[in-house]
Amino acid sequence: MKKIITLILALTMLLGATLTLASCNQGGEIYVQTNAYFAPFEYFDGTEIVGVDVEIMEKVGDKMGKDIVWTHGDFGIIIDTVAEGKTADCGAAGITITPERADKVDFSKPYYTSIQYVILPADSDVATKTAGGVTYVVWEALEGKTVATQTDTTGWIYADAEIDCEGGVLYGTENTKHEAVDSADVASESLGSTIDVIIVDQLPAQYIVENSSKDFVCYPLYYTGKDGEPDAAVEEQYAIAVTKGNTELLDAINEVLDELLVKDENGQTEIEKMVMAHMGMN
Amino acid sequence: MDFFKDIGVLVTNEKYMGMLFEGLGTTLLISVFAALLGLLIGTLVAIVGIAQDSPIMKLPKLICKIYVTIIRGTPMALQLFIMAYTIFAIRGFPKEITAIIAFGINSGAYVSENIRAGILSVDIGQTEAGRALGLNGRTTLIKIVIPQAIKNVIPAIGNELIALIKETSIVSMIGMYDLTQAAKIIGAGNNMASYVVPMTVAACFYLAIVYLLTFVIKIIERRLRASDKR
Repeated sequence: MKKIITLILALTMLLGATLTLASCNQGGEIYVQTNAYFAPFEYFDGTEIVGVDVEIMEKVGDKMGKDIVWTHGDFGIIIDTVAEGKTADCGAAGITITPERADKVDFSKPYYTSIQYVILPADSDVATKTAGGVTYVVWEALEGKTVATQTDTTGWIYADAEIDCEGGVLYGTENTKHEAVDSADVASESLGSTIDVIIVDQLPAQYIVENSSKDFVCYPLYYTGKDGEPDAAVEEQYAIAVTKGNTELLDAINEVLDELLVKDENGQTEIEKMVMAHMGMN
Repeated sequence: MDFFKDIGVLVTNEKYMGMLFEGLGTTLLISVFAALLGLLIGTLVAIVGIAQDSPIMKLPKLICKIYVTIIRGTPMALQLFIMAYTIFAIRGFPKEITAIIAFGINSGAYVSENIRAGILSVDIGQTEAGRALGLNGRTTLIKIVIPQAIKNVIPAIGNELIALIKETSIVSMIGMYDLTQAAKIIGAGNNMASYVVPMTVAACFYLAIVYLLTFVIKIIERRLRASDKR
C-alpha cells in the first residue's frame, strides 16, 4: 500500500515539474489558432498542419524573427480565443470578414476572395441554371433538401439565415433541413444518403470533389436577382484575425500579404500560386 | 469488397499506421495517468466520505460531496472544454496535462463512489472484531477493511477504467492528436477521403486495449479470490 502511494505521489510530482517547466518558455513565439479541416488553406499532412495559411504565417514569423506555434481546435472557438488573446495571438483559418467578427478582433487585409459552393452527388435532382457560361445553383433549388454545413463557418451563417431564420429564402418551406456538422469532409461521407447538399467555400468544395472516391459535383451558390437583376454569387473575403491592439503583429501580417498579393507577369499572385500548389493543380 | 480492400490499404500503409500508433500513444498516456490520478483522488474522497462525523470533518465532507455532485452531474466533454479554454488557457501549456487533470478529476468522482461502496460492503462485524482485538480505528480500516474492500471494488474499478479509456476519445474536441483524431485526419479529403475505414481500424485498436485490460483485471481478480470458497 505504501509503495503504491509513494509511486502515485512521485508521478504527481513529475507531472507538476513538467507543468512548471512548460509554462516557462514564453516570449519568442506567435501562437496561431486554426481548424485544420479546411484544405487547401490548412489541413493535416500526417501530424503536421500544412496549407496556404501556414505558408503565409511562416513568412510573418520569418519577418518578425519568431517561431510559429499552431493550435488546432474547433472553428467556432477561433474568434473568441483570438479576442481573449490568452492562448493565441492570431487566427488563420480562411476566416471570412464579417461585421460581428470584426467587432471582436482586428482583421488583416483580405488575401483571398471566395464564393459559397454547393456539393451535390452527381445524380442529384437539384436544378442548376446557366448564365454567361457559368453553371450555378440558386437557393430556391435547395427547397426540400437536407443541407449540411460546418458549424460557425460562413456556409453555416448563410444557411442559418436562409433556412432557420424568419425572412430567409427557404424559411418555412417544407422538408428543408439544415444540419450542422463537424466538417464538410465528414459530411461528404453521408452525401447522397442522409445529406443532400453541402454548402462550403469554393476551394474546399473543389478539393473534396476532386479527392472523393464517390461521384460528386460542385457549383457556385447564387442568390436569385430581385426585380429582373441578374443572379449574384455569395461572395466573401478571407483575412487573418489578430487580437485587438496587437498592431506589431497586424502590421507584419499586412506587410507580408502586400508582398504576396503583387501580381507577376502572368497576372497571378503568390497566394494564388500557393493555392494551386496545395490543390495539386500546377 | 471495397471496404475490406480499403482496410488492407490502410493497414499496409506505413504513414497511416504510424499516425494511428502516435495517436494510440497519446490515448494511452492520458488514460494511464488519468487513471492513477483518479484512483488517488477517489480513494481520498471515499475515505473522507466514510469517516465518522465530527466537527473537524464537516468541511472536508462537504467539499467532497460538492465535488462528486458537480463532476458526476455535468458532461465530461464540457468539463474538458472548461479546463482547456478557461482554467488552463495558458500559452504553450501542454494539452496532455490539461487532459490528464480533467479526466483524472472526472474519474476520481466515480472511483470514490465505487470505493465507498466497496468499503461499506465489508461486514460491520469485521470492524467490530478488529476493535475487539484491540486495534485502533485506523489500523482496523487499513489492515482489515480495505484489503477486503479492494477485492469487492476491482470489478467496478475495472469498469470505470474501461469507460475512461474510451471516453478519452473526446480530446480530439480540443484539438489533441489522439487515436480518434488520427482516424479523422486519415479520413480527411487529402488522405483516404473516407471515414468509415480508419474509424473501423481505430475502433479495433480501442477494442484491443480494452480486451487486454479486461484480461489483466481478470487475473488480478482471480488471485485476490484464491482463498475464497465459492
